[in-house]
Amino acid sequence: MRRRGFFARLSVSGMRKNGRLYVPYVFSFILSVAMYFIVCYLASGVLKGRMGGGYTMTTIMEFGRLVMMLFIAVFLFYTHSFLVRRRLSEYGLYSVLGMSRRGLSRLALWENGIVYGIGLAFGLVLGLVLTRASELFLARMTRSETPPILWPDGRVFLETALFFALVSLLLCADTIRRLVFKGARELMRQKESGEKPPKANWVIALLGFLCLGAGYGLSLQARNVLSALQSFAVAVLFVIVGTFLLFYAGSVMLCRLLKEWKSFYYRTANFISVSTMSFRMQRNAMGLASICILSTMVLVMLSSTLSMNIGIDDVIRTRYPRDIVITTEFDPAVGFDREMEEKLRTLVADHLSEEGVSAANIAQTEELALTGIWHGDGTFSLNPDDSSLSEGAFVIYVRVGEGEKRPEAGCAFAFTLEADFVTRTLTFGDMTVSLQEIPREKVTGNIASLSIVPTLHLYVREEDMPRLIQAARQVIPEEGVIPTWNYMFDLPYEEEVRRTVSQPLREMAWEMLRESYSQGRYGLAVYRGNEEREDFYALYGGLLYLGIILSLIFMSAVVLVMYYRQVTEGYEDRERYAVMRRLGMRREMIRSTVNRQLRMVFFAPIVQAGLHLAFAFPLIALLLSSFGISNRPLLALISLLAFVVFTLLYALIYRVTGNAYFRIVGRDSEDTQRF
Amino acid sequence: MADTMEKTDNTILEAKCLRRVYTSRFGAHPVTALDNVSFAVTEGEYIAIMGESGSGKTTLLNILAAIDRPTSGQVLLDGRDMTTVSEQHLADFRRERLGYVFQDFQLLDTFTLRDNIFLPLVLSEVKPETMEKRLRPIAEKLGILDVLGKYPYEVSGGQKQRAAVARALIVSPRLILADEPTGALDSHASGQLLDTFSEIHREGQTILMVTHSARAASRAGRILFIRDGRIFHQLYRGECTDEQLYQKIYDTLTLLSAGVERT
Repeated sequence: MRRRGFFARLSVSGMRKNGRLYVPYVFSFILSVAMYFIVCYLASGVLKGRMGGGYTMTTIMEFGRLVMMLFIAVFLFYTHSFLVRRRLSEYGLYSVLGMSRRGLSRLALWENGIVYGIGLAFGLVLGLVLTRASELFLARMTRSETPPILWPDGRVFLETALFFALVSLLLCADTIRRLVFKGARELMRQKESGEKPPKANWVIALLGFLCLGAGYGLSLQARNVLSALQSFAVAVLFVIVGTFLLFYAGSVMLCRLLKEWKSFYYRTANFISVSTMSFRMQRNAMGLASICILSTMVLVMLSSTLSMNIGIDDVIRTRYPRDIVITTEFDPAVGFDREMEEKLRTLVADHLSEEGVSAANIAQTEELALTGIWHGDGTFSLNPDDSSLSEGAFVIYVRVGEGEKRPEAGCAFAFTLEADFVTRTLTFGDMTVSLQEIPREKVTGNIASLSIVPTLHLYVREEDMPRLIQAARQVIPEEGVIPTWNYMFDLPYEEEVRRTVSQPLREMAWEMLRESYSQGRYGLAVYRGNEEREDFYALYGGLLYLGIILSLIFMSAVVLVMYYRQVTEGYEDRERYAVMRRLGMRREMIRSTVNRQLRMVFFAPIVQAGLHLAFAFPLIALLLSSFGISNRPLLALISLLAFVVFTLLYALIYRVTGNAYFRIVGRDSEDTQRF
Repeated sequence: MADTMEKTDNTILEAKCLRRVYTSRFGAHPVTALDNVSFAVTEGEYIAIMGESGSGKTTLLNILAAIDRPTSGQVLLDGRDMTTVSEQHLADFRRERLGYVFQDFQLLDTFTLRDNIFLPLVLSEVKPETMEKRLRPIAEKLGILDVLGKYPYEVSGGQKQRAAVARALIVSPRLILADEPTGALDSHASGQLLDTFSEIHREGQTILMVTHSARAASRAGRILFIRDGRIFHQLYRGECTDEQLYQKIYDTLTLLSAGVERT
């Protein structure tokens, strides 16, 4: 009896009729597909080897993908629930007219299928365009050649398609659960009932506080980059869950309090705002919490990547204090070879005069690097078995202290960023050094740059240094004891001159080392600051780019959530405002009520996001220190700035979406007036 | 129609030669919903306006309530011409002088019954204590004291309509306008509501009710019959009981439909 395509046509017409709701939904679906696709693409390993830090970025993106999956699922369910609610009566009508449950389920399947089809197709196209744009942008940032058009791996397409198929199936199941398995009568009746405040509200509040506390605690507790990396994901999850719970419990509590505050509640604007707010507490809370979390993500990404790019010159200056840095590693059996140092100095001087240039700001440092294992209880021990980058790995830099940094014999001045560091003595084989803390300002050289591994800086007396090397060799394998000599100078000439002068230095120095040492371990590196600078720009610029694109994506999600809230609530509230007008509400009262309603929920998410950012600060600062950004005041300033700018932007979005709401509720009351 | 105009000193509402023409969206066929309707409402009166669907009675009520404006003619509320009052003041005027009872209650589902009843007072910026003081006697009289904290979806249709009546009464209106107040109620609840109306009428409240139920109209003191946008007949209660008046209304309606058949 039914012609083919009956359900397809019925579902299309149903969606068309609700176009104002479906268009933003399909749009958000498309956007979700596109952003998932991009993150999938970035996580698929294309970054490895293409840019500095590509490996790290791939790991970050892999984590980002997981967050994204969770985010997208929640986001789509959230928006989808609006649609289902609006269509209850329509399904009820079909049911009354004799459509079976199977038929209704097929209808639901068709609708979700159509959205999936459209969303996937357009989303993938959008994703492809954006990834292509990213390629070009990255190439520009890293000043490399325009990359050839690379098609993303087929796996990326497949993963995206599968993930969204799964989500769509779940959405469909949800539709069926809500629409089909309810008696037709109930569907038709569906007088909207408000959300009852939950009985165990305090339990939810407590849980929310605990989650948030756990997340914040993890951030505050992080002592070094390794532990920060490990706890970051967990902290983020805790904070997300905590935010949702708290916003829920918080809005319930707020509504109750405001309603009891009679002289506030019974004012026209507040009266209507508070009651509609408590009427849809749960949805309200969900919406606000998602806005809060998205805002936090934007803030964290922007502030950290911006800090990196602003602080980049700092990093380079600490890592490469001079134009040219020659680093020589000696065999621990030999120790600091003063003779060789002199030879190398002469070599450089001869070479420079041959080239007709002269060096300025010549400086040299001796540094003994020791790697070993750090125990969580705050004590160090030098584990002879393993000195690789594993759990508990640590590095000690030993330098000869002069002037006020010259310690007593057998003692050492010590500095570390590790707050858990409590030990007062260090034992290397048969030598024991007692430690005395010095403030950070007194420490020269690399403190935090690229110090993923916890680091201890020691200053010892000159005569203790050779003893220390010998003692350390007893407990640490050879490759863990590295006497390093840095010789550096500026070349106040054109970059071209610096390049041509410094290029042969490396080969010449190697030649000399090879001639002098027939065996043993030794190493050499010649760094030219500006060359390194480009690499840094590539890595940091790439990260900034990622930060910006992800911020844009999250920002548009914020816009969408807000718009969606306003529009759907506008439709719901329209009849209410019509009734109120009939009871004698003035037009300008509507305007002021709408504004009040917006203002009431305006601050909550952004304030909470600011709090999140503040508590994430220690964690971010630690993670950034692994990129060499250790200027905390600068980071704080940038975070604050990002927050202020974002708040302004947020206010603007709220204003615009608020107008959408007002147009809907305001227009209808005009209609009532006319007829 | 001059004979239907009964002017006394304490006239609350006066409709003068009301005419309302609707032009459809494309302007092809203007429809006259009201044609030269005039009548007056005296303080303390209980008037029912009867007519079939499409007779123009809802249009009339909307114009009286200043929700709609007439094409020509005047509505005088306490001697003031409502058709010339600005849109802004109209809202205040409506809120403070009129109590409106709708067929479908028009309670807001986001408010408890108490807050629904308070709504017009809140719009008038009345103090919470005053509102509570005014509410008590009204809620008691209407028998909804114990459901004031509930939401509209939690109570019965009769309770909803009584809450709507309370909302109309709480502003101490000069006039209560009721649009098919029993339309959505079962016979038991309808009876209760009409009893309530009779009671508040006895206490001096002026009521104007639009209905097509003869049973409801038989509680009124005067009945206006409206057809095709014109008032064509009116009945006074005189010394009749409700039953006798009901019989009279019934006869009039029969006559009316017979008249329709004859033409």
